[in-house]
Amino acid sequence: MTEILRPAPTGMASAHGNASSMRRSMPNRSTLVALLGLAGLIALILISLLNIARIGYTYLVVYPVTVQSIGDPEPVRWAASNYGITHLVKFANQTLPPEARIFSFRQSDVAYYAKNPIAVYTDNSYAKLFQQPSAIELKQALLKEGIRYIAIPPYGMAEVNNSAFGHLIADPSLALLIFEQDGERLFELTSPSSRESSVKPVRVFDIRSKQERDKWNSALMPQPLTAAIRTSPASIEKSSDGVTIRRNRPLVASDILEDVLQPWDLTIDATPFVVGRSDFDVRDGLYSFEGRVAGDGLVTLYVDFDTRAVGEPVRRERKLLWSGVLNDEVQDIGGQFKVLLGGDETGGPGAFGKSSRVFFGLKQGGYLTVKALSIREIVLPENASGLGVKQTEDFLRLHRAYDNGWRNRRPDAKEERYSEPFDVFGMDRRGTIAARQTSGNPRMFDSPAYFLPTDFLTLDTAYRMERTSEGVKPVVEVSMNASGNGLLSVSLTGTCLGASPAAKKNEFGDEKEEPQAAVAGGVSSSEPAELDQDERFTEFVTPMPPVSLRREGRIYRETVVLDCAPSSVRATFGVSGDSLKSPSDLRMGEARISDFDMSLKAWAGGQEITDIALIKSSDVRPPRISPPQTQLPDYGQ
Amino acid sequence: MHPNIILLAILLAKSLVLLGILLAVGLGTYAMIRRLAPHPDYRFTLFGIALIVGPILMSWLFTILLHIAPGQHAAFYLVLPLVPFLGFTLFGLLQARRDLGSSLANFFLRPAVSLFNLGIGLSAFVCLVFGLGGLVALAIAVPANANDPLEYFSLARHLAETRNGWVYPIIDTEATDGFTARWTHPLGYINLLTYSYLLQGTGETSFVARFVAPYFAFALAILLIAFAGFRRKVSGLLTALFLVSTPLFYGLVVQYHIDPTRIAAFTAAIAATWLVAQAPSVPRGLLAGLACGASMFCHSIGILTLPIALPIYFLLARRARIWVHIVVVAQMLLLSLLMLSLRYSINMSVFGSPIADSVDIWSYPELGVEHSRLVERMMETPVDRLVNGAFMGFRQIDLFGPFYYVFLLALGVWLWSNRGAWSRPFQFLRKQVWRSEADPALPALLVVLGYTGIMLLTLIAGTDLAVKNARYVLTMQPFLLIFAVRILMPAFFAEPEYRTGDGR
Repeated sequence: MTEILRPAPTGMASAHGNASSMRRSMPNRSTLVALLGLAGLIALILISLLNIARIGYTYLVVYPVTVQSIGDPEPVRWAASNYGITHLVKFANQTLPPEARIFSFRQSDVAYYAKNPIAVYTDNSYAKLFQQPSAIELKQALLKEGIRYIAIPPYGMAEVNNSAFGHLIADPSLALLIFEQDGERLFELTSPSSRESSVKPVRVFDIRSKQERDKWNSALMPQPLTAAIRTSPASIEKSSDGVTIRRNRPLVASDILEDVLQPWDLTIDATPFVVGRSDFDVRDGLYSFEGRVAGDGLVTLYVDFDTRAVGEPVRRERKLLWSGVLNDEVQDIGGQFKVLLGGDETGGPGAFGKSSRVFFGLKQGGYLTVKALSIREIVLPENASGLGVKQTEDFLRLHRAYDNGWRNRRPDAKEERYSEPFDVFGMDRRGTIAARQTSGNPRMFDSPAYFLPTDFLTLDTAYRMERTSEGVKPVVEVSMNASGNGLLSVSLTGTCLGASPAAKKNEFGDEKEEPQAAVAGGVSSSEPAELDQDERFTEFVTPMPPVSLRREGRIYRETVVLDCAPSSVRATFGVSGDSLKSPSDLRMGEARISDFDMSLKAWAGGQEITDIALIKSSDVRPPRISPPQTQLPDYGQ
Repeated sequence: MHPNIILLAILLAKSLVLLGILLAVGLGTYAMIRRLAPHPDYRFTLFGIALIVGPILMSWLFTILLHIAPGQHAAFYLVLPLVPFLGFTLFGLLQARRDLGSSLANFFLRPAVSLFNLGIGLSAFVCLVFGLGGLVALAIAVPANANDPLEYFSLARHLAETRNGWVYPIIDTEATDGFTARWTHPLGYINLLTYSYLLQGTGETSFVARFVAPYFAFALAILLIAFAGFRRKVSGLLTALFLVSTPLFYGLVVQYHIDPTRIAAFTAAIAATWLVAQAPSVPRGLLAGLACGASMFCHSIGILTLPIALPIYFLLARRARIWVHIVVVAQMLLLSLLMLSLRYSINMSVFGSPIADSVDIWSYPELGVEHSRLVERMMETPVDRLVNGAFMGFRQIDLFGPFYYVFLLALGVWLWSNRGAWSRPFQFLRKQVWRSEADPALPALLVVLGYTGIMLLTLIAGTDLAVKNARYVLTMQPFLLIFAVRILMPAFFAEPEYRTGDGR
């Protein structure tokens, strides 16, 4: 104890002292060092503050808090995240019989939030299921345990791929996909008595044919520039046995380097999307795929839909169909996926194609040989019992969302740049908060297209308005109550009767079939073919002042003067993160609009001479536009 | 008014009660151990240790009660574990007020605080308050969400419903609707959740239990302010801020993970070991033993506490009678193992080993789960495991912050300033002058070296067990920061060390 009470160690005369001796040895420490240290220290404190704010903000984005929602029960708060698993649990809670046991390949969420009893793959009493030699026997064993439902998470699992489970979920006659959202899947074992579904080939990649093989090529997933300079796509070999890509394994495994093997004649562009034409189409429905690959490394199979429903720009959706680790071996792959393309006003899929593409990815080295791949559509009978109904309801729900007039539009693909995750402050590729929509683009959505009342929709009227408008201008006023967060940009789009002022002069002679054509032209204004067909319609896009959103909402009332008399008009909104308020990598926003109204007026010399109300839109309740999903980190088990 | 607001207010009130109980237990523990300080300067560190170890000991008593007297009324379990602590709480409060007052006085007066220290200290303090306050606010808003915590919450809910410790590990899933918990984890953290559920009185929400993790983040911040700031002005505040703001740590608290608690307990165990090494005595050995036990009681990986704490004691212990050393070491070994004896014997009888991964299918060769995970985690080859595993802190700045590089700088500065020692290693080793230094940077460096060594050993042995998860690597983070801050602050700014007068 006495030792402790010695003079302080600062007075230590030892040459081996720690930092304190260093201080003594350099009494005239240059101011520069101190300044440098101070700068570093301040930087560290700022980074700390930023990290705290960033993570807190991320969680609040995922689990948004409002006065109304803060007191919600925990499951409701959880579901606010909009994750696929929350939808799966909600689906199970609402749809499955309460005593139905779900065999789950992920215990936590299902055990905590779902009402149904579960069976967990890590439970040793089910270990024998993983030793079943075939899918049919596995199905029997599952039924014997009283299990009819299987939940599978959105990532590849060796436990599924390498056991009979992999075959079971690939065969729609044994187990049918009844729910899928963001890769979270729920399968139902089909009842043994009735074979409810049949399959119909959509696309069979026949590798033995040279013509087919010639299309296959390799590419690299977009990478940071520095990595892209050092690497080139893997080498590719083709034989009647399969198409192979090879790469020397890098010294240190990296999750950025991903080689792509694709059956298309074009390569990946700067966006993370494959460009090129597809040679098979998909439509709303269930699909199954089967294939055989050999390889070494982490293999993935994706499908991209490239859809273009009427009145919509290109939408893209990428689904992970299969993922697994191969250890220099041959593997059968298979599974089921759901396609929901949305639709146009008539409820069906749009007319401009539903092209889709598949491609393989290979990470961490080795090689990948594709030996066979085929995609089939699962045809459900018209009046399918049970699961078929659920399936149908699912589709109908989606159609209803489109039918109510509010269109949810994604940004045009060309503008969508692959933005590199913000490395330094913590957005990693596996995604501390890598949003699904990694670009900084605003999330777009539209109001219904507001067509003018029929009696107004004549060339005559428009002409009158044009003619009398030496000094008389059409004015559109938009008013609404907008709330949320981020920045809401507003613009008016629509068509004008008559071409641009220069071209239209000699056009307004005949005016017979205008109303119908106006409808079509107004909706799919971006389709050049239609413009050719009816060149009397010109489109216009007029931006309006954006509004910074607040949680409590604010009244927006703006008017804009149009250059021509509109035949149809609609407001287009884009919501994005407010770059002033949020970190650059958190560009997401959320908007809710109520009391939306729009009216057209004519304006002359400072006074309104007429006020033509467009369709009174206060009764249209826009859907809540949920923010792009933010992936929270899962630190594993 | 929203109908749920009243419900929310009730839950908030219960959460405050929980935080009050944890704090009261910590204060009670402080009253018991305050006398162990070899010098008044150590009291603040003891306070930090008490805030962490106290509630875990309470959880231990609660666990024992659940085993020896299962199925009683909830109030029985709520009150009885508090009895040993609450008697001292008032003393602890008074003493803590006085001691914290003198710590505050030290900051401002001894020697008089400079503008630099005032500025840095205050800004670090404000950021820290912002961070910890944010954690509490997030605990209100964010539901239980991540994988492991959801399983812990499910288990705690079940334990609270049955009020029977013997149901765990859950192997027969008949009564749990299929929920299984075949783990060998001791119940330290989980039973604090169970306690919260009992306090809450309903299993419908995890609300009250969510505040356990933020409490330990707070307690660990206090401990670091004291321990890393030992006889310094701002080092402690900076270390605490840097740890709390480490992205992985902060995120884990918001997910209500076990790790903030586990890391707090481990840090407390090392601080207690350092304390007993400063002035070996039997009562201090008792504290070190309990602290090590508390650390082991939080999580299976806590078993690494002793292999790290004991060498630190051997290397740093100051001169004392040999039997004192023997008794101290024996206490550290026996007390901690005694605390864990129930859990380890249950594990032995159920799983055949005190710590085990007991999922059968993961060992089936035809499934290839092990290999598949290695590839997915990018740890297939030894080089991968080294770079992506053991040294992941350098690559994953998004999880660990820039602090690994700061640590590297500190290590360079430290090696350079001690170059005299390296040039005469034998003389250095013979004299063992480091034993007379009271700088926590030394045990911190030893922890970093020891933990890295253990990771490397497991890698050589061909398993990714110790590095598979960034959370495990995070265990080193407080010590990395202690070392870095304590070395770099005087190197750059000549941060003066104070020393209060003896006694009081």
